[in-house]
This record gives sequence, structure tokens and C-alpha cells, in this order.
Amino acid sequence: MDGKAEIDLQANGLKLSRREWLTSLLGGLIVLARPASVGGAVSPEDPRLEVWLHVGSDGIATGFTGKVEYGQSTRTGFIQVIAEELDLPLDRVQLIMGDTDRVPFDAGTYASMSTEMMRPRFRRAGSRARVLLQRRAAERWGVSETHVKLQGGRVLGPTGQSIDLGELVKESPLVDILEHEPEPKNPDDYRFVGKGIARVDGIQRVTGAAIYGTDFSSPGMLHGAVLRPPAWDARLVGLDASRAKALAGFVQTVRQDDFVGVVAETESVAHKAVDLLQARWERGRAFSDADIRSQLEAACPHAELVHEQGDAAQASNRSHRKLQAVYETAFVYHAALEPQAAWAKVEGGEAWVHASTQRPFGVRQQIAELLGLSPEKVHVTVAEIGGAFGRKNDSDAAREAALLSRAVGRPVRVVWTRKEDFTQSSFRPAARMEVEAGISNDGRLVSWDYCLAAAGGKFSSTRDLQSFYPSDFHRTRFTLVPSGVRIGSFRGLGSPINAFARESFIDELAYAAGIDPLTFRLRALGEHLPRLAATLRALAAHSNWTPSTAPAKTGHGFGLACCLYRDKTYVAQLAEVDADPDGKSIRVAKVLTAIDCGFVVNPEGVRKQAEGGVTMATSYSLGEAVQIEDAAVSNARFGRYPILSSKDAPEVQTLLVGQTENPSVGVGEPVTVPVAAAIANAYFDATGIRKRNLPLM
Amino acid sequence: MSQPMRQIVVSVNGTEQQADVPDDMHLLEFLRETLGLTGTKCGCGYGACGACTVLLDGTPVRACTTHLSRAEGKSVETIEGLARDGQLSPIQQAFLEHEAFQCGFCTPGMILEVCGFLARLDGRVPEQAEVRQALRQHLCRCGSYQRIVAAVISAATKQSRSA
Ligand code: FES
Ligand code: FES
Repeated sequence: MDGKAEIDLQANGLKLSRREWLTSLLGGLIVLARPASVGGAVSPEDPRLEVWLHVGSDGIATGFTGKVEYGQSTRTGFIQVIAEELDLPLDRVQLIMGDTDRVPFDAGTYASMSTEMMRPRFRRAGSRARVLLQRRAAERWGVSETHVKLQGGRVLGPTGQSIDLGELVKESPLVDILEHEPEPKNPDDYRFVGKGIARVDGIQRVTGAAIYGTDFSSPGMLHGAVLRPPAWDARLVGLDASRAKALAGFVQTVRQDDFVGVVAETESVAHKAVDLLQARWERGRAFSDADIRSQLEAACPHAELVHEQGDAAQASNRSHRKLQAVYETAFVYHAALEPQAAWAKVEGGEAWVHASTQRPFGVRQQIAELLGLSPEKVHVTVAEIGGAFGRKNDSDAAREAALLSRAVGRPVRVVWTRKEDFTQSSFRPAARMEVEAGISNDGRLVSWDYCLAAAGGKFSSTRDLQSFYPSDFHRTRFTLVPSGVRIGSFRGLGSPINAFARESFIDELAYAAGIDPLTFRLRALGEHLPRLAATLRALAAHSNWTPSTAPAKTGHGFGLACCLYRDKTYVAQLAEVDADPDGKSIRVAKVLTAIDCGFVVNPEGVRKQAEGGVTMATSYSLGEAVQIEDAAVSNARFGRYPILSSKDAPEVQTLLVGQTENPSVGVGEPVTVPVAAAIANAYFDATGIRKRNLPLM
Repeated sequence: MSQPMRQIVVSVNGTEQQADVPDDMHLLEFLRETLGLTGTKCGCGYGACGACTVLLDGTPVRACTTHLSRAEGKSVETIEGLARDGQLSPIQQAFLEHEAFQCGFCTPGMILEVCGFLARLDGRVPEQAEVRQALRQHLCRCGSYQRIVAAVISAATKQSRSA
């Protein structure tokens, strides 16, 4: 059996019948009635139903998507959508996710786009399949199409006829021949979509049966571990592997430029062997996080203009008061509980990879380039993923496993230690935000001048850079400081960074204008973004928000913040905190989230994303900072990087305010965006002290 | 360098296991690599996250820092052993009903910790704060804490009713 089959059988537990299963392996998916070269070659815009959906003769519908599941409940949500359009019981729908040979190309699971992208596709494919199945039954019975109806997995005829949909595809698979786009099901008739259907993959999570990247194995598999540089810019100048080679269970060292890996019979021997490698490194410039902070301090005067609108001089004349402030955020680590992990088998000019990754097609491309293969020769499947948060947009472990497997000619698994996962991560960049604004004497926002300086990573820091609050003069600038730190994607990218400054400063302006922070925001928005205003109003109406023009300073405080994420999702949050009067400690008691993410496929799924996102953002807002000394992470241990535990986690409540007629948009990232500012604003209310640095404590 | 080996006898999920293992092996590696019981997770390997928690003679321990010799002659329970005759244990059932997980990587360790915690309570239903305190050394980066606490209280409530 080839690596591919091993993976599928072990990891996916699919319900394809054995005959269909073998045919699909041998016959290149003929049985699935899919285009001959479906392996990622099909565009995500392809409307044909067979690209997205297969109805099997066993009556099971299989959806195909490049999106992957790492806790967002998308697997369940997609199954709800397919079951709905096909009127099938939920347990007769399954999904193939992120398998590069079998699903249409997908750029990756990030930016909270899964439901937004996939719901329309599965709705369309499902409604097309429904029409075709009804047509087949009608032809079989010699009745009019309008007199048959697909219901509960069967097509029912006008005079008591009834046939399982599996029967209808026995002779020929469902292929799209529709000339017109059928109406998808009317949401008023929904049975599954819009309901808090339980996770379809929950049982595997409470029984230990879910196979994550760290858990996958195959016969004959060896284990790999990799030598890590002591600093980001260290260069390998000498290596002595003799002590490592003497270890029982050692198999081989593999070196390619600065990459040095060890293959061994067990994971622990592989890591022990790496510890025994005697490497000599040439160190580059030693720098610390304090150095980076000084660089950021000096950066804004040289920033590039991103956007400018209005007349600065006029706005200045109209400004009754001018305020300025500087905010800072630290480097943040994703800390997904599952570290980087992947399995690879490279053999006969092909590669099979099974990895914890958010971007299987991206990994396919990287592995192809690394090994000099064409992408069709690289087959990537996705393991269960133990948290991702942007870090798993790549899979470093997959590249390493592939190099090692090629060298030893056997499958190799690479699972990083926590220390590796921390020190070799790609962090959310530290940043400095300088903002200046003017308000008129009636408390209107007249000018807004914002500069973001980020310690690397334009893509990682500039999302939602521009404030959405209208003002007469509006300027946005940006600059990058090359920090030498590895930077990557972090849940929400720059959105939470920019929102921390914007929403904190809006609060400062509100108090300066003698207007309560909610009214100030609503006035600043005016007629602009009515859905955001409605979300803010709903938040206030469902909470004990009381308007106030001065901080309470009672040790107990409330703070508001809001965002518009990627011009799509509206979030407003209210944090409630307890703080020491001296400002030394803070506890976030509660966070209420009001979210308009359009039509909600699974309200429980949205709530869970809000609960999780708020908890994670509270954690990094309060205490998380990656510390850097000598061009390396200096606090790379869980004990020295305070991740919130159950003891201090806030109570999280969620209010869904979206309307059915609006398209479904993202949740997982937007719910993290306003959190830091809401907490800082609540802290100000509680103590009268304004905190402008993240982490707050 | 040949590795010093030792023979170990330990009961895992009710089955006696005998194996020759490297002298310095920890319980986590034995479970995951030697026995293939991958339900027990490794989130840190140094005792700081709780993902590897199993029961050793009924007491929750961190398998990553528990030397295998400590399990000699004792009984170990892992997530794979909790369901009986295809029936989830009440705590698994409560986690499932409350969807007390997102990615699920912390879940096995959490569940085993809760097994020990509820056993110590002896039928008493805990307060929220008590549960939060009891689980404080278990990290859930996905932030499922609120649901985990609710699941624990509901399992405890059911347990006290049936006691
Ligand atoms: S893996 Fe044992 S405590 Fe983290
Ligand atoms: S559910 Fe992902 S770490 Fe807890």
C-alpha cells in the first residue's frame, strides 16, 4: 500500500465503501465522477457540483474542500450546509478536507474566510445535486420533475414512489449538466443550518481517537529531529556528529547547508542525538527587545504615506483640542498546544506528506520546490490540528521531514519540542503606534493622523491599518523596522494591533471631549457603518453599560471597543475588570461580545469562537511578551510566558446580532480584535490610569 | 553506546503490559511510542501544560515528567481506557455535551485531571472557583475554559445524584 492509502485509512476514517475506495485509489477518482486532474488543478471558482460534492451509491454525500479544521467547527458547519441542501441526515454527509489530490485548489485556512467562501459553494453544489437527483427519479418513474421531492435521503414520488438517493447514482455518477442555477433552499425551511448542531468530530476528541500531527505513524517510520541555531542569524561553521552517532537507535545525520537533521529509531533518541551534536556557530549582531523598541521609537518620522485625505490646515483650525499618544505592543507567540509536527515519505520521485497545517497547497508547493519535484508529485493530507492561530500557515516540520525522508528512504516524522516550537516560531511583530487627533468644540472627530511602525512583517501588521472613523483630515502612515526576528501570521494579523491603538485613543478622545465613550463612537460614526453602530447599540442594550464622562476609579471598571474586520465582520466588546487601586494587578472578570457576522450557520460554533478568541486575546493583552536577548528568545518556556489558565480566564458572553439576509462572514479572528483596548479602557475606568503598552501588566 | 534497559510490568487500562524499555524512559513515551496510545498528548514535555495527564493508581500525574519506574507494578489509566463497553464515562460525556474543546489537544489531559478531581470530592458538587483552581495548571490555548468548567460541574452534579 502506498503512503497515501496508509494516510487515508488511518486518519480520515471515511465512509466510502470498500469497492469505491479501491476504485478511487486506482482509478484516479473515476468513481467520484471528478475531473481527471482534480488534484488541486481545479479552480476554487469552478461551479460544477462534482468538483465540490460526490453522492455515493451507498447514499453518503462527500464534500470536498481545501479548508481544514483546527477547532473552529468548520467541519461541522460545512456538513450542516450540505445536509441542508440535499436534505440528508447529518450522518450521511462527510467531508474530505485539505487533501491536495482530491480537493479543488485552496489558498489556505486563514483570515476567517472558511464559511464565507465555502457556504456559497456547498449551497450551490448541493442545490444542483438536488435538482439532478430529482430529475433522475422523475425520469425513472415517468413523472414530472415538479412532482418529486428529495427528502431525508430519499426521493419521493407523487403516488407513493420512494427511492434512496444512493440508488439513483448506482449506474452513473452525478455529473453537472445543469443549464441554469437552481434556487438554493430557502433559509426559512432550514432544519440544520442556523442551529447549534454538535461537533461531528467531538467523539474523537473526548476518547483520544483523533490523530493529530504529533500522533500519526506508519509502518517502518523513523523519527527526525533538527539542530537549531542559537540565534536567528547564527551561521553553522563546524559540526562534529561523532557522539550522536554512537547512540543506540541512531540512524543517520543529514546535512544540507545550514540544515542539520538526525534520523533515529525513536523520537527521544533523535532529540538526544541532536543534543549531542557539537556545532560551532558564527553569531551575528546581538540585539534585544529593548534595542528593537528604540528602533521603533525612531521610525515614524521616516514612515511612508499609505493614505491621506482632507486638508490638514483646515482641520487644524477646526480642532478645539488636539491630543496625541503613543501605544506599543510586544512580540506575541501563538503557543498552539500542539507543536509543529509532520510526517513525510519521499520515494520514487514522489512525496507524501501528512501534516498539521493550515495551508496544504502551500506546503505542497514548498515541498515541491524543496525536492525539485512537480507539485503533482507531492501529495499533502492534513492531520487533526491541535491549534493553529496562523503559525501553521506553513509547516516547517513538513519540509524537515521531507528532507530527512528523502535521505533515509523511509517515512520520517518530525515533532518539535516545545522549546523548538517557541524559539523557532514566527511571531506577531512588536509595534509602535503614534496617533494624533483633533476634536471640535462639540466633540466631533476632526482630524486623525496615525503611524504604525512594526518590527518586521508588513503583511503581519497592516491589516485594518486605516481607521474607519470619518474625520475631515485623515492620514495613515506605515513603516517597517527590520528587526531580525522571525515574523509570521498571527490570528487577526495587524488588526488587533491597530485596534488597540485606535480604540484606546478613541476612549481618550471621548473623555477629553467630556462625552461618554459609547456616544462618542456613535457620533464619530454618524451615518457611516450603520451595522457597526447597531452592533455597539446592541452591546450597550444587553449589558450594564452606564454612560459616564469620567472614570469611576472604584477598582471596578467597564471598557468598550469595536472593530470592522476586513470590511466584513462587525464586533463590539465590553470588558469588565477588577483592578487594584494602585494599579498593580488586574483581573478581567467578564467580556461581552456583540458580533454581526451575517447569517450564522452554527450559533454554538460562533459562540465557541468568541469564547476562545476573547480568552486568547485577554491572555496576550494581559501578560504575554516574547523576550529577546542576544538575538534569540530568552523566555521560551511556558512557565516564563504567562498563558491564561482557567483560574484567571474571563467569563465570556456572546450576543449574535447578524441578519439572515447578509452573507456569512468570519468570526475567529475578528472576535480577538477589540479585546486589548476594551480591557485597557476598562482598566482606565477602574483606576484612572491609562495603559498604552501591551502586555498591560 | 548501548542503552541500559530494564524490564517493566505495568497495568495500562486494565491490561498488564510487560516490556523491555530504556532505563531512562518516561511514562509518556512508553504510552505513546511503545504502546501506541497516542490519546495522551505532549504539549511541553516538562510538566507545565497538563496535556499529558494520566491516572497513576487513580491519581493524576504528568506522564512527561513521571519516570516509568514510578509506574512499576501500578495501574495507569489513559483517555483510551475511560469508555466502558462503548459507553463514554460521565466526564467524557459531559465534555462532549458541553463541547468543552475546540482543537481538542488539551482535552485528554483535562479529562483525566477531572477524573482525579471528582474522585477527591467524593460526591460533593464543586463551586466554579474551585474547579478553576483545580485545573489551573492545564493550558487550553483555544480558550475552552468556560465550557470545561461547566462540563465538570455538570458531571459532578450527575455523579452526586447517582451516588
Ligand atoms: S506535556 Fe506534560 S505537562 Fe506538558
Ligand atoms: S481545545 Fe485546543 S488547547 Fe484546549
